[in-house]
Amino acid sequence: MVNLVTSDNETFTVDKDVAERSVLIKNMLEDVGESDQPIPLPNVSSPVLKKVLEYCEHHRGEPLPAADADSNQDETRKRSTDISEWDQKFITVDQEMLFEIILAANYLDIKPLLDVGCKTVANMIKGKTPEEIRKLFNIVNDFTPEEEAQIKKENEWAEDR
Amino acid sequence: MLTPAHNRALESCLADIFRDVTGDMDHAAHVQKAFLTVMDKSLRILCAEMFQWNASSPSHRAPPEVLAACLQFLPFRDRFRVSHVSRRWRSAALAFPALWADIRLSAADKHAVELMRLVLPRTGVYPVEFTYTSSYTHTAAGPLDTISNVLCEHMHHIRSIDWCGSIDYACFSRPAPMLEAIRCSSTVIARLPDDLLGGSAGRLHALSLGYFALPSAACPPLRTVTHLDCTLPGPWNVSSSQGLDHLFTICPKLQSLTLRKFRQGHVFPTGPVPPSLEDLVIETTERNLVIALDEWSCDTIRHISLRGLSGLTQFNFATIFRSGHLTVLDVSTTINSVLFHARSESGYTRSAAITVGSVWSPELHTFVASCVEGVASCLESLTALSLPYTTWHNLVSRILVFPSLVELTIRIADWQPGPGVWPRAFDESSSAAQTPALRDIIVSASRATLSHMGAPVAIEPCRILGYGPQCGFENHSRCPNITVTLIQEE
Repeated sequence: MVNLVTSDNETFTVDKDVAERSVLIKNMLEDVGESDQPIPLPNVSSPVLKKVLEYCEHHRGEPLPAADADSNQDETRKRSTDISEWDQKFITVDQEMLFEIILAANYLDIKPLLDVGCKTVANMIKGKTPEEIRKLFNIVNDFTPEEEAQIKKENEWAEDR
Repeated sequence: MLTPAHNRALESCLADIFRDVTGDMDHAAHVQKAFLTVMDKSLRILCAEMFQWNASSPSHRAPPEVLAACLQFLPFRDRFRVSHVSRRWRSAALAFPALWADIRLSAADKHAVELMRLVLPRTGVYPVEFTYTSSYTHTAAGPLDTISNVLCEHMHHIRSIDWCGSIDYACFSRPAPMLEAIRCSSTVIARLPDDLLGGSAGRLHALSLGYFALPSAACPPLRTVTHLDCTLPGPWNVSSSQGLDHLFTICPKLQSLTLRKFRQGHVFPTGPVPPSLEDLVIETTERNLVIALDEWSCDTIRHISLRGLSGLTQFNFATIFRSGHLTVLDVSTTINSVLFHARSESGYTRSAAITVGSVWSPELHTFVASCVEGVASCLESLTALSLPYTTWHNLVSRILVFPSLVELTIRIADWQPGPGVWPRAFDESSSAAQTPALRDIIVSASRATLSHMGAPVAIEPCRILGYGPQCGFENHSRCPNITVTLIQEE
C-alpha cells in the first residue's frame, strides 16, 4: 500500500498498482525504494485526488502508454476525440473540477486521464464561434484594438469558404 | 451597472485628464488627436483589466502547455477560432508550433494562400503535414502556383504532402530533408521531375501517385522509398510507363508495392523484385501477369493480392497461389465480388478480389468453382477449405483431388439453395479417394435455412456433401465428423 498526502493534508492509502498509474508516483516509489514514507502531493487537493484515484482504480491493470510512443501513434491519437462510456460518465463534472482534474493528471503524469480531460474540453469547443467559447468558459474579449483588427482579418480568411 | 459614485469618479477623472492634456492647445486637430489618445489609453487600461478578470476562469488558470494539450484534439479550422477567444488562449495557441503543423486546405478556401502564409510561420521548424484538395467540381482550380510557391519556402520542414486534384508540383523540385510521404493524385497526366527534391536523398519512404509517371532516370530520393502506390496513367500516353520498367532499380528498398490500373500496353517492371518486398498488390483488368510474376520470382513475396475483373483469373490464379506453401483457402462473396484468400502456416498470404456483375447469377457459381479448381489444383498442401455452398455445389461434379484436406467449411446462405437442387457427391463411389484426409466438415448455416431444406439438421449436410446415407455413405470406409454451426445470416 502507498500513502499519498494532498495539499490540504489529507492522507489517502491506496494499492501500489493503483498509485503507479501515475508516472510521477511510480518514479518516486522507484527512487525511494521500499518505504512507508508518505508521498506528498502539494499540487493536488483531496477532492481532486479522490476523483483521480477513482479513475486509476477503474483502469488498474490496463497497459500504460509507452513513454516512447512513435509520432504516428501520437498523430492517430490526436485525430480521435472518442471517449469511452465509463470515462465520459466519470468526467461529467463542473468546469472547475474538469480543469483541476486535467491539471492533476498533467502534474501526476497520467497520460490517459490527461487525454480524457483534454478531449472533453476539445469536444466542448468543437464547432463553436469565439463568442460562444467565451460564453462557455466565462471569458471576456480582452484583445487590444490592434489584436482585434488582426483577428478580424484571420477570421475572414479562415471562415470564407 | 455603474453607480452614481462610479459615474462621478469616471467623469471627474476623464475630464481632469482631458482638460490637463488639451489646456494649452489652440488647434482643433491637436485636440482631436488628444481625444483619440485618451480614448485609446482608456481602452487599453480596460483591456488589461479584462485580461486580469479572465484570470479567474478555470481555463485561464491552466498553464499554456495544458491548454495547448486540449487544443491539439481540435480540427484545423477550430484552432483558428480558439486563437480568437482571448489574449491568453491566443498566446497559448501561438506558442505551440505543433498546433499549426497539420494544415488542411482545399479549393473551397478562398484565402488558402493567406492562410498558408499565416500558419506556416507559426510552425517554426516543426515538421508540417500539408493537405490540399482541389475539388474536381469546383470551377476555380485555386491559385495553385502561388500555393506551390509558398510551400517552396517551407519545404525544409515539410513532413508530408497530400495534394489531390489540380496540382502544381514545382515544389517537388526543392530539397526537403524532412519529407517522409507524398500522396498526389493529378487530374491530368503528370510526371515527377527528374530533379525530385533537389536530387538529394532524404527520408522519403511513402509515395502514392495517381496518374503520375515516375522519373525517367535514377533519382536519389526514390532510393529510400519503401512504400509505393501507383495508379498508372493510361497506356496510350507515351510517358505513362516511363520509369516503370526500371522501377525496382530506382526504388531498391521497396517493402510494399501497389500498381493500380495496370493495363495491356504498360511496361512491366523488370525483375527480380527487391529482397525487401513483402507486399504486392496489382489491380488489373486484363493483364496476364504470369510471365512477369515468374520473372519477379514472386514466390518469395510474403503477401500478394490481385484485384480485377473475371478475365484476370484464368491466367494468373495458378501462378499466384502456387507459392508460399498455402494451407488454408477461404472463398467468399460480397454483393459484387468474389474473394479468395489463402494463407500458410508461416504467415504468407495470397488473395484475389474479382469484381463480378452479380453474385446471384448461376454462371457465376460455375466461374467461382473453376477458380477454386484452378487454385486447388496447385494446392496439394491445402488442409482447410472454406467456401459458399453454391461453389461446392459446382465443384463436386469435377474430378478434383484434395489430398491433404482435413477440414471443409461450407457456408449456406438463406437464399441458397431451394429444395430439390442438392448436388451430387464428388463421385459417390470415390468421395473418400478424392478427400482421403478429410476429418471434419463444418456446415455453417442459419436454422431457418437448414429447416427450409426439409431435412434434419444433422443429416442434410451429409447428403449435401455427398457423405449422407442417401448418397451411399454407408459404403464409405470412413466418416468425417460433421458439425453444424448455426449462424445469424445477414
